[in-house]
Amino acid sequence: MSDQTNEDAELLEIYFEESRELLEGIEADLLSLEATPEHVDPDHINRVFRAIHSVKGGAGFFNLDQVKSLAHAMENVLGAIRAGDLAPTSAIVEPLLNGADALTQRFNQDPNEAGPDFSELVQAVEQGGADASPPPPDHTAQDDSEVTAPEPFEELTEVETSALESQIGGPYQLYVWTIDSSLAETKALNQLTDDAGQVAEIVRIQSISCAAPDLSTPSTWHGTNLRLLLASADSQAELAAALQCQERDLTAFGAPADPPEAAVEDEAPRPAQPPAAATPASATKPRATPKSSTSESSSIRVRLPLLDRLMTLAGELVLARNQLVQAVGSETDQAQEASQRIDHITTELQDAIMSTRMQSVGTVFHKFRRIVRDLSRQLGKDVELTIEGEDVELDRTVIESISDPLTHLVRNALDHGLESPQERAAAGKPTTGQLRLVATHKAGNVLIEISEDGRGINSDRIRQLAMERGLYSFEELATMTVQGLNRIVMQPGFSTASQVTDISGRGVGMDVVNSNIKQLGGSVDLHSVLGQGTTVRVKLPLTLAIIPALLVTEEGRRFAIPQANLIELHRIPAAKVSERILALGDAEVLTLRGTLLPIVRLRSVLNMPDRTFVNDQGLRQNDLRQTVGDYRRNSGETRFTQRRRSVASAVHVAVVGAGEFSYGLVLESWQETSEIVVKPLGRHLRQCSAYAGATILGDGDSALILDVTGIGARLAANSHAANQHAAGLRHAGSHGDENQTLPTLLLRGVSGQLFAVPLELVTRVERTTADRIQTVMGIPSLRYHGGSLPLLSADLENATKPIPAQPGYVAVFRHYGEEIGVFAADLLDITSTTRRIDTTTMRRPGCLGSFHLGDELVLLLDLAALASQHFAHVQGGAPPSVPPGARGRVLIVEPTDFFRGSLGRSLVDAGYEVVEASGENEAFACLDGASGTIDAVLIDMDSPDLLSPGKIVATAKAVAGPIVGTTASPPPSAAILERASEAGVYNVLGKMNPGMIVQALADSHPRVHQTPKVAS
Amino acid sequence: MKAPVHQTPGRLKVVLEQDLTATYADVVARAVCDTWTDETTRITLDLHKVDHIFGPGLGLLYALHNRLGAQPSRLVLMGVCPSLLNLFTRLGLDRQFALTFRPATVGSP
Repeated sequence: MSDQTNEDAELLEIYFEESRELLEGIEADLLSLEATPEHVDPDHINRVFRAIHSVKGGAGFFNLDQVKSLAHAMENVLGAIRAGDLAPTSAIVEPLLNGADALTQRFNQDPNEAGPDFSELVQAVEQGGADASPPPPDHTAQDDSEVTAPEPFEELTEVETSALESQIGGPYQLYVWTIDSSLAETKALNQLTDDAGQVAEIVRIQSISCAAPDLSTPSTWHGTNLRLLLASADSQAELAAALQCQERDLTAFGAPADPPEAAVEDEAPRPAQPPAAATPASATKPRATPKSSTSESSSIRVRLPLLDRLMTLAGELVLARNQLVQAVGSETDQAQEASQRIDHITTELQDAIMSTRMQSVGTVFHKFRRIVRDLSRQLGKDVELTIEGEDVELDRTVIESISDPLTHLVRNALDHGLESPQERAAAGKPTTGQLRLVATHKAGNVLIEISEDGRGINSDRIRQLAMERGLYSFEELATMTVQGLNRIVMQPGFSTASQVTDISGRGVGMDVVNSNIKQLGGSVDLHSVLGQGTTVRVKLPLTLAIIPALLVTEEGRRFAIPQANLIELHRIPAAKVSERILALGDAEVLTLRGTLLPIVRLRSVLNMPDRTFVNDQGLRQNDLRQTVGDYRRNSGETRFTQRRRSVASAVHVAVVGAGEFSYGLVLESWQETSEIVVKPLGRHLRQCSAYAGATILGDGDSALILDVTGIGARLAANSHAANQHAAGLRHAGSHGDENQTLPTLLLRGVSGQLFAVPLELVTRVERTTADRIQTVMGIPSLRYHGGSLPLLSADLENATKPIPAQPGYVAVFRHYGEEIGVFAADLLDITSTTRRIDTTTMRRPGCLGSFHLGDELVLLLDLAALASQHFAHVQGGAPPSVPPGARGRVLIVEPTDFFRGSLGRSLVDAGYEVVEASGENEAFACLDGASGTIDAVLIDMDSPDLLSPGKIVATAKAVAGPIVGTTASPPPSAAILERASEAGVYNVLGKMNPGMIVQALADSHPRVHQTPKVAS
Repeated sequence: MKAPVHQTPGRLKVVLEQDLTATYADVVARAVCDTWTDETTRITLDLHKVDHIFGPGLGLLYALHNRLGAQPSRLVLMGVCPSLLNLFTRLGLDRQFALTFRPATVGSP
């Protein structure tokens, strides 16, 4: 390829790049013109006109005919607008915008490709101009006799400058030649220009004439003459002589010139032009950017790879600085001083280089004016767009990456969020919807808010769709907060739109938003209020290259936590650990200013080996041994230093935030904060959600950067799994007819079977080790508070068989005043169940029934029965055995089958005759029909099914003895106590504690206990 | 000096017979004004005999364009020689006037 061809290709590339930039800016100007057609802002129309004119000029130079013809047509219309002949109404601006789009599209293509055919667009643009109405009557027309003030000559484009350099072949100067009126009348203008073209390069020509010359008034058009912008290597005098004109008519471009005619303005004052002997590089200076002459000296074009290279070097410098500062820490004062200066300079250099990569977010925002305009028309919605914070700057890479996500959010807001004018009017809202795009700085991040005052997100609809599509089970959805439900819309393929349109509704947008923003180290949060609107908050880091971070350690390894994710640090003293850190199921939480904050141990997140052990006291302690044989006895350390630290030692918790979700990260220790250079992870590590990158520390060591968002997602998933059981129970209860809650303790037996124990019976839970359990005379027992606690296995089949030697948990309960323990391999959760309990399938001695939890069957243990069955010898407090029904007749008013059956069996076992009633009518029937034969009444205080417990109690009091209220969730709540009080019941006991109920019946009705009836 | 004007409904066609000097521009202007009607929406100037255009001649074109409502392509310049075409194009008048090398034919403006 020849040099000339290479040069042409390079010029063409520059032209394309320049055109793209020119076109980027005109959209906003066109929309501004359209917004106020009655008042055309000259700045806006001039900017658009110049941009299109420059595009056209280059197109002609490179023989891009299609581009030229389209730009030409647009220029015609713009010229008419500028002249005040056309008002920039929507009908005019629409084809202009389409034309700008088409040109932009063309300039995004390969310059060497054949461009598309713009004939239709040209026609549309011309048609728009032809159909347009004349300017509004209030347009301020210029006085016919007023001579048009000529526009200052535009700056040269890069293409023009390059062309001039090659044509003139050396340094050149630019001159403005204003042709005198008398000369214009005596010498033909075309001849003057032809002659000028022989001695200089004509860059521009302007005509000077009155604004609206009147045909019948020759004086208005006789004064027409020309101004030429010429480029020549000659001096001013030489050129004037060659042109045969007065030297005063020739002025250097950029210098103030004498007005050739009255009322004719010349060029605006410009910086003085370098002398003609300037170098070619300086000769190119006049062009720079087309916006203003002042900007030419303050901005240059720099290739992006060069900026990236500078940034990389700055990063390396920061690393070297860190090493240097660390190395000279203990050196002489001079070395420290030099180190501090290098530190200072490096920081400034880094800031300066980073700032070269910063761009204002307005470069992304400005395109939304167009999108909102087009989409709102397409959807038939009235939308007012407000943009704030366009000057907020972000790293170039971040800017490039947020365009698509923000576009999705805006489209979603328009399509799904904002209602039609009719809907808004019906809802009592203004018919014009508000859409706000706001960018702000917040704690080292940039926060972008996209908010609208539309219909908001219907969380019920999301719940329904999520369930229909199998994304979540009902149990999971039931436990989700409204905001959690709203976040489901960010899942792949999820859309609440009932109709897929070409705008949105395919369920791709929010997923793309979420994943793109997360890749940038940012986060997305969604807040919605039904009927009031939705706000999406996108939090982005200012830059991805160099970030401040906190260095932490775990197992001696160092990690970095980005400062932007850090909220606060907590060191919890040893004495406060048990008080501040609580275990809920298999999750841990930190009590923090009255709230519970989920915490996760970094060690477990990173699957580091568990270097702790449980000591003889059942406490988990850190294991400081390096090997199995290392008892740290021979190291020469004092006994004090040999002591193993227990878990009761201080705990370091870094509270970190991943969007709105914050959690605590339990660490071994933390070190200092430092600026780190983010290095991307190798491809083999990119799938690790726990890491966001790597960095090199001051001592040359490497450290992985923790991905707070990724770890948070895991934690959220774990927490969710932990809460799943409870959710499942609530869900099942809502479908059954048994809506009472039964708090239970969930255990997993040694066999792996799930068991539940009514929580009201459990007095204590002990974590135990195998060596604390002994089996004597076939009875397993636990060394407990200096005595022995008889143990049952949670596994029904092996209730009293030797318990395997393994650590586990013991749930302690009281049975007739004596403590008995239930051994389980694992303690899962404490939960309240409203699930229907199957009292038939698995019903057997020691088992009250069963229910399903997810896919697993849970057996509900009958502790009283088990204790009676296996430890009859410990029932010291139990009433003496009597024949069935000998203690009297008890009416149980209980709508729930399970509780009714459970209570009934317990009372029968205790020697009572039981009459059951599931509702009011049955209760009244029993009381009426069994007048004088009911000795006591147990009445449910939980269920709203009993509409008039007071009436039942009143009736019962007239015919029976003691009346005891029952509740499934002791101790009774204030509401239950109030209800019981209203009904006249003053003793409310737990339904699952038959021992207490029997005792209460006996205490309040001695006759029954002391003079048992003899069964017939 | 004269400037023959051919009139068809809504249109005027003026055949220029010499260079467009200040004097001849006045002649053309008067001829157009004399034949102008309210229906006139287009003017064709045959420039095939015009090699040079002077300041007032250029002013005349602006005035004609203005009289036609300053709408693009209402003023048609035919038979434009290369030198004039170069000037008009540089001035951007090709956006406002319809320009062609081809001389006009009487009867079909």
